[in-house]
Amino acid sequence: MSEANPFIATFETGRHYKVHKSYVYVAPIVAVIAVVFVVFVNGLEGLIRLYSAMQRGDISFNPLLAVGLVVLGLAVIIAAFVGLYALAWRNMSYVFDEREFSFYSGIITKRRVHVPYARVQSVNHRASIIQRLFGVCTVTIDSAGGSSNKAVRVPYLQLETAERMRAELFMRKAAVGVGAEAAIAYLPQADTATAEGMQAHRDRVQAELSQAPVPPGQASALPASWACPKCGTSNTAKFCGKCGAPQPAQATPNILDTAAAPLGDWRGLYGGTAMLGEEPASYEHGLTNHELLLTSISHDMPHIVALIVCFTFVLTLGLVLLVQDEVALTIALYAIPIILGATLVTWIIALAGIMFSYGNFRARRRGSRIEVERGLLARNFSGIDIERIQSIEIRQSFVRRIIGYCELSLGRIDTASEKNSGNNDSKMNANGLVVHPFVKLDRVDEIIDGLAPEFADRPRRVDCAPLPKPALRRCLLRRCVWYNWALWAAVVTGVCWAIIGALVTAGNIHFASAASYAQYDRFMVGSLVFIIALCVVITVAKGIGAVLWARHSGYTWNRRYLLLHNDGLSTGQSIVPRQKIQAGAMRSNPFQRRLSLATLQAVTAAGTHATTARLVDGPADVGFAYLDWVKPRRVESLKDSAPV
Amino acid sequence: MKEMPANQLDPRVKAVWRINDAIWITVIGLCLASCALPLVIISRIGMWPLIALVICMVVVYIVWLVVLPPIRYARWRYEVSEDYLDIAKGIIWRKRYTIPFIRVQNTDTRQGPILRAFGLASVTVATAAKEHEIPGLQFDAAEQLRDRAAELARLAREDV
Repeated sequence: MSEANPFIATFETGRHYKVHKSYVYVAPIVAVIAVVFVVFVNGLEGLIRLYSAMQRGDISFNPLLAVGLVVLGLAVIIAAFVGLYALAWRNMSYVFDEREFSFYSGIITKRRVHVPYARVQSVNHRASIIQRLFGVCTVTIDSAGGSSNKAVRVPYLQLETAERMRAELFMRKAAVGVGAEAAIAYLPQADTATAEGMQAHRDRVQAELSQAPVPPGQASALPASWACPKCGTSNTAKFCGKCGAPQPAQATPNILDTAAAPLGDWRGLYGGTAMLGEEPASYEHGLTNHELLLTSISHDMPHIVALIVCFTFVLTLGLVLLVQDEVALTIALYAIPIILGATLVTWIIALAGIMFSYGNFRARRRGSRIEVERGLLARNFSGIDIERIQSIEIRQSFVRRIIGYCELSLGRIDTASEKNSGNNDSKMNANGLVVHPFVKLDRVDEIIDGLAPEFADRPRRVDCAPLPKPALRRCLLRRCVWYNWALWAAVVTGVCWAIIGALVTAGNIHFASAASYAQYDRFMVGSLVFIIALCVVITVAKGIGAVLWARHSGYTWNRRYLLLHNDGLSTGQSIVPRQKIQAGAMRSNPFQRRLSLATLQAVTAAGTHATTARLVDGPADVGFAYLDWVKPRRVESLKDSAPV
Repeated sequence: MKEMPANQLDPRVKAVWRINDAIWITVIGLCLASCALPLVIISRIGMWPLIALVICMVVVYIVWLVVLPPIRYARWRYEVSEDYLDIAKGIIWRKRYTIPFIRVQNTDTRQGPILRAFGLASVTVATAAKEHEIPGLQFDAAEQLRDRAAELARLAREDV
């Protein structure tokens, strides 16, 4: 099977295929664990009471009988679940018909979900840790359409079957749609790329093809990332993306610089042999261990979570100290190590979580699609057709901005898949398909050109026109005053405390003793000092952010793309193809109108509903020019309109 | 582009807005009154919460029923050109939208009970991302606009 020609159907038309048998005994594992956990937690109190009753000798019974009962109970639960899943499995099948793919399921209520081949947009799969052990995965078939269109989910397919299914679906889509409208949209349009971009693309394909053939079964064992000796950039293709130097022979750097390949290529019990790619990948990159480490360290999430934990503890401690001063020292003595420990543990767990989710990261361009695989334990494969990219997003968190790195992602239309609620991945996918979680800013262009040479004529950051002068003043006011929650918190606290103080002075509030008055006094002063200090720190940070934003933000567009750059302590840059802008919008409030400024907005269909890229305080006439630019153009009236 | 779009809504839409807003304001006012009434009865703070509420209501009624509708009507403009729909609206926060017909997925007309009483309908233009509504057109005009928008969306030539 591994050597199957991808352009010959490997599934019979019209035949009902079953999902893998492991569905019957692997899927219940998770359910049983959940049920046992719930039963255990609920019954814990009863168990403790029973135990103490036995200790007192109130009741006594044979311990063997107890163990036997528990085992029997477990067996019944497991049998029930296995039976249920076996029934579900018997009623579950998928069929490749002439023009559409159907998935049948349901024990009592029979369901059939079908997708016409022409409407297949991407075929993704993901595997949880347990699924990975068995080499099976859940395939999701996305079809065109917004949130109303649910994705088809086929559970428990062998990895090999999933790969063949993807190849089959795309092959049938190409075959069925010849001459049809949908197929034309699917086929990469020759004119969407400049000659330059396509040439670079072809060269890369050539470079890839000129290499020695990869032995079967090791298709995914592509070379690990290597550092170019000439220019120092890190590469995974055979030639340096920057200066074109070939990869040096077997330069094995330290362990941090190698990609952790074995676990990523490990296919599990029923995984089967890896299939050769349908088409050769024209570009591929991964993450080295040290990039992976830095990805998680430079991610905002672990720091924020750790800070929140630390802050909560400190706040509690502070309150306790204010009230109970006799034992304050003892409490502090114990509390500080606990706080530090808890913060550290949270931080490490959060870091590890990110490392696991981005472990073994691979992003590649294959044919007209970009594919991303990631996850050290649970594995996730997700692809996007180049025509379906809604935007390119370049984001920098605070830490990444300092060290000059960013996250590169593609905006895409997310279809709500059927049983996807409560899934961690849906949160991580909130900012589109991440094609590189941690990349140096000067390598971004190289990666975009490698993955999507069609975007070669996009505008660059250097082309951006700066914002007009009044933007700075307005932004300082907006961020340091109107939208500054710390300032408002300080103001509200100040007012409340002043009222309480006035009541105390007026004699409306009495204290039992001088000591309690001292306690009250300390609490008021302490909390006020704390909140004012917090307010000052946050306001200064927001002020710096505002200055950075006003100085470095900008906008530009050319014939095909809009670029909006929002700078600041963390930055975000959106490159939106004009054809993906569903509506151009511009809004202004009276202050903006007085200074003839306006907010530019580009609404795209990215995300589950819609995403709006916006830039506050562009010149108003630029806003009108932008709206003019959004209007569709005819071939005969081809001309570039550029910002003033 | 700086000039405003040409078409205005049907003038009767002002009455629709007034009725609609009056219903909402009355509902909210009654909710607040039902909260304030027990307070007034139980405590001995007198009638002033109720009086304040009534004054607020009167002010809100005047603003929403007398002041705002004509301004909103004057500001609400749209224009259907061959390739795109142009909408301008908003009193304080003024918004301007350009929706290319080539991105339009479907167009509907909708009619609530109030709109129907006035023989009006609203036209909704939906893209893959958001819906844009033109409220309160004369029923026939709305039907025409919908058909025209649908036709233009169908005919919209490839955009380069």
